[in-house]
Amino acid sequence: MITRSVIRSSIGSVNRVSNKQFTISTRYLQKLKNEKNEQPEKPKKRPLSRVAIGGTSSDSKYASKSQGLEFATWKAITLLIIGGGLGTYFFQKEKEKIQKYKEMEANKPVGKPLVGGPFHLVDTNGNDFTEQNLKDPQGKRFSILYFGFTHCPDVCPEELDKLGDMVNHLNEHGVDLQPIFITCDPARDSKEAIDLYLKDFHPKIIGLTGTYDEVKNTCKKYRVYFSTPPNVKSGQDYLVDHSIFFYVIDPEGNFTNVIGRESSAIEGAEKIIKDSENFIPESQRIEKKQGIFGFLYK
Amino acid sequence: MFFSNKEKVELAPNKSDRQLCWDSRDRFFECLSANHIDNSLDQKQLKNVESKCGTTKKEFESNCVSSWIKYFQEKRYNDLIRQRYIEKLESEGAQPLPFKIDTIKKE
Repeated sequence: MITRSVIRSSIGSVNRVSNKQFTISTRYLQKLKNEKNEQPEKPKKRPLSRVAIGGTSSDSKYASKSQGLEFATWKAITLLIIGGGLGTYFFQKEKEKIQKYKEMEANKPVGKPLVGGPFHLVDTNGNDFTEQNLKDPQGKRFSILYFGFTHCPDVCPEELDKLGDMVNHLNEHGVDLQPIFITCDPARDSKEAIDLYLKDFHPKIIGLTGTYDEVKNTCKKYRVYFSTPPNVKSGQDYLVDHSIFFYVIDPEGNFTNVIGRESSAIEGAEKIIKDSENFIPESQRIEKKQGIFGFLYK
Repeated sequence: MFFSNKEKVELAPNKSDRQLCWDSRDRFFECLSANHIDNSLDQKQLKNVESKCGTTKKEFESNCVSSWIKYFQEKRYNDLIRQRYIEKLESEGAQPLPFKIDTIKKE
């Protein structure tokens, strides 16, 4: 609104100035007419063939006076440049913002993906961890979820190393990421076991576990498939089948992206950087849609 | 819960354990490849494995937990089959897809 009124006032001043110019120049024109009326008596009438091409010296004198440059005085020119420049800058900036917003909307899958939802687990210190812990009140920090188990032979350790690299890469680019490891094997993965296991990886990684039902519920919410072999005797060694994706969660706790095993740490990190650049908090999104330029966002 | 009766739950191998296991696995598999053994779990091949790669196999089995021993051998065989299949397709003029397919891999 402020910028708009500024523009309006500047347009008004342009009008005022040009009106002034106009009155001045009409006055000048009248003056010129008067001069012309007086002139015909002075010089003798000569045949046209005698008149020098390009006019006599007296003609050029009038010509230089009547060059209509009065409209473009330095005031008008500077006003035009400043006003035009400001206007161009403002609209260019707004256009860019709208384009970015539209790009983000286009990147979003159609409809809201049914990934994520309320869950309850505990971290390695015994504190509760729910979907609320994924949210960041500052609207900056992204989270990434990885489902695995500590007895995992080769894929999980590789992926967790990759996760550490991603965190470091994002840190260098000023993007805050909360890495989370959730076990699919609650029977063997106690808080202590996970704590010990994660010591080999990036110190920022938060390990979560819970009862079998709690873990099952979380996996279901995130569409993670896992299967523990049936009839396992205690003390028996077994493997757990599970799907291996990284789930990227935005600062509002909404699922935004998956990172598969085939992408490298850098590729994954770049994906998250892009997401964080395109992220606009809900409050701002509503504000934009209700603002004066709201129609542009629809 | 059924697992809450405090039993001694064995801990997962740590980083150095894993590395030790992977290294001895690689040595064992190298030996298998050198002797053209594809499926080291095949009952018919078992004698061959024991006679040619017996020592590396023992080392592999002592350095890895039991679930991994089976897993790695199964994985090696599956990967070999897949690799050969891809080579066969490529020799028949198959082109790789121009895009990536997100595959769900099991462990």
